[in-house]
Amino acid sequence: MARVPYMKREDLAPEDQQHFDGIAGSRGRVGNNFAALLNSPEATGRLAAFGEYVRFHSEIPEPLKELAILCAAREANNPYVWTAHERLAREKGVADPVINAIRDRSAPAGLRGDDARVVRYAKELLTTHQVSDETFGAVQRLLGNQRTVELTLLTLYYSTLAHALQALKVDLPAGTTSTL
Amino acid sequence: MARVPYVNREDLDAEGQQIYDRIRQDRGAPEVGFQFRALLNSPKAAGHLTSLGAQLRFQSSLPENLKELAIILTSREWNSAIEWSGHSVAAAKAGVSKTSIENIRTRRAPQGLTPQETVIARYVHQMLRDKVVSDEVFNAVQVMLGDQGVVDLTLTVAYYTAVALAQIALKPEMQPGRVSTL
Repeated sequence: MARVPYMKREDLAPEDQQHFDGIAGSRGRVGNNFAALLNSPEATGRLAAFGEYVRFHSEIPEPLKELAILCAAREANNPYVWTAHERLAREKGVADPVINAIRDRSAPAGLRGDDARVVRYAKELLTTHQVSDETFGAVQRLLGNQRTVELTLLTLYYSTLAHALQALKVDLPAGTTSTL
Repeated sequence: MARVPYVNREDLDAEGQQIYDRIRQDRGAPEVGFQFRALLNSPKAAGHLTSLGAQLRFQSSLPENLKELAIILTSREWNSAIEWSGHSVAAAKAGVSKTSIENIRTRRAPQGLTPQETVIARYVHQMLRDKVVSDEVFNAVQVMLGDQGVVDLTLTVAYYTAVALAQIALKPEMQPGRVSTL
């Protein structure tokens, strides 16, 4: 069990139920992740709105988004985010060797082209906490200023979420096994 | 210079200008800081991020001193001069002692902190360094702050981590005339 209760819609004060509904609307349901975070309803509503924008509305190519998300999950050691997005990454066309290289931390070695640029950026940001001019420049030339900021914030949104779920020990969805 | 242009208010469309104004008004600031103007290359992403930040900073369920303590512990962890220089002042105003602040700055903390502060420092360090928070530390925070409090603490540490790492990526400068105290 998670370390805080999973909030159901009826556990929330009437004025906070909009946050539950907003998450259910954009994600299709409220998973254990947001159900745990909804112990702080307003903050979670705003976190989810931030995530919704960078995940669903940014025009970064979808496979590149998933690479950044997997890097964030790997770095935080969080099976919840990893397991959900490994499946999504595959659906969006990310090849298994690329997924495996992120999982075993060997990436960006073995990756090519845009994949390598994005993974190198995410890993420098999240792992060494120093982004070289060369790495930043490669992403900036690929995506431009707006989408470079969005890739940065997408990566950091998932790092935020993964660290929080890790601290709260949020369980994987019922019937799911970690693939991390 | 930062690695992306600082966006000016007049560079933005009407919706972007509303976001710009809200960032400034939420923080009661005379101007929008460089760190936000760098993020405003994506106005909507910046708007959502700073909306979360305003909630965690100004509407938190945490006692003011412990919230600011968590923020400076996080800022120290990521070497953010911008966040440290602002929030160490806020921490002092909220009642965190000079001794505690200095012990955090010099990385001696949790050594030299009060018992309550020590619990928070151990939580922040385990979350960010070990990626695993022990049952002992989690329970201590939960007893002290309740379920909403422990979630707010977690999100505050995670949010300020995101903000600090965004600064590492985009390299915004401190506002002119301000000096780092980190």
